[in-house]
Amino acid sequence: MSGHFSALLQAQSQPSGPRVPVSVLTGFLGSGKTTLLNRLLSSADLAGTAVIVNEFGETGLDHELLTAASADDVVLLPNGCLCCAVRGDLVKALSTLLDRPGQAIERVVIETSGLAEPGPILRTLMLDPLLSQRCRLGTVLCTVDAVLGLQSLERHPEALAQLAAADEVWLTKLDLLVDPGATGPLLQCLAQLNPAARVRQAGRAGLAPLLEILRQRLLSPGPDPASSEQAHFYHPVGTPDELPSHLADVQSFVLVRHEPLDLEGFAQWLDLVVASQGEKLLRFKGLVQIAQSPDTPMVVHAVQHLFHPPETLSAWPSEDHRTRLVFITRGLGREVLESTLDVMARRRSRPRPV
Amino acid sequence: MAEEQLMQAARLVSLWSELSIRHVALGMSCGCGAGGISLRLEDFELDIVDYLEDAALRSDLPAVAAYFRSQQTAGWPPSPLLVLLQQASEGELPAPVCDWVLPRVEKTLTSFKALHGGGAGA
Repeated sequence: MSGHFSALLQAQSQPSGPRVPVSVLTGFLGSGKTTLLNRLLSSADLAGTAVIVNEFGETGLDHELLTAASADDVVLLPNGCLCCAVRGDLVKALSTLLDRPGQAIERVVIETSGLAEPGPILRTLMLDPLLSQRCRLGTVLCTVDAVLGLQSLERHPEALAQLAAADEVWLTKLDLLVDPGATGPLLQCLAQLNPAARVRQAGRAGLAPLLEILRQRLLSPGPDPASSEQAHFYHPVGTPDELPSHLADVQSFVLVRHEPLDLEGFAQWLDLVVASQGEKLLRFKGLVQIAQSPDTPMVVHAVQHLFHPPETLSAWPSEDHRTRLVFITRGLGREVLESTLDVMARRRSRPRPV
Repeated sequence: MAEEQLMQAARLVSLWSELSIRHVALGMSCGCGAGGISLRLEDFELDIVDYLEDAALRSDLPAVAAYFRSQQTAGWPPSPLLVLLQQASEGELPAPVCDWVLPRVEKTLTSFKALHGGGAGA
């Protein structure tokens, strides 16, 4: 069998040189992306950062609002909501930046349109053969408006897709809340919809953690600090309370396996899931104990039905060596995934008769 | 064996017969993916039986473990899941084995059906 994930596994073994981390800043309209980016770029820690602004519409303004960045370091990428349209433009923009003479680009941040699902951009970064040789996906950061965020998530599928894709969530506009403690329902909703993301509140935490995440220098293939030792792959999912009605079919859950998984069986299971129900996967990330190499966990993650090439860590980030697979799905239940994984993975995890 | 179990087994025979001929197109759901390969759910029949066998041998039910051990020793017939379910539907399977195996097969096949897009996904 050779499905999407299996093909990436084969590609994993191909050597590549150092790659520039490309992080994606997403968030719904008016949620404070540009403000946050300006604050981040004003820090000396992010010198050497280029910015690509992906705006909706013929005339973009956000790139002109990036006062903290040098004009040479900002590229406008218009009309970014269409998968096919954005691909070529993004490849061209990134290639132009990386080929630019002078000081080398150390990292790139792409600010998405507030109306765009980040999937097309992430797919391009993950799968374009030229880009994947030179760039790697850094982190996905999503701004959420503390005042309107819950409403946006209920009403706009784009906002949900942006949240689901996020590794980090930055809660904005806390100063506009009449009751500073009113973030409870929103925080609960965020934790339920994307339990794997770290939620930071702008008023309580400085930018230092985000700067540290973004301040990744050129990395060789191997352990990825954005998604390994420093990452927050897995946060225990609390008792699920009722979500807003429009989000009722969105589920997040964690599959845990105490026994190592056979690589082939696991890959075939993922191939099957992606081929059959890929459109129902909003986000998937996992830390996997592979039977063939139990001391070096495999990091896997996907946005919608497309996977990032898996990476292998040099060691486990904690004492917990169990396989943990975090899913955010729409209309695809835990039991379906759990029982099919049971079938596909266990068979190969024990010695076969000769 | 209870009539209810015979009916359950017969229903599972039908379900597996229907499922096993379904195809899964790998990588064809998006133009961006690798693709062009398809397989039938029948290809997973040995995986399902092997999963059942593994779980049975780990169970603390001597009759169930003994049955699966004997099948392992003798070698499973071709189309082993279909044969197992047909035996159950005809009352030829020992009662403890039937009690143990039918709920597991039902759960597994229902999940594969849902995974293939046949409902009960959520």
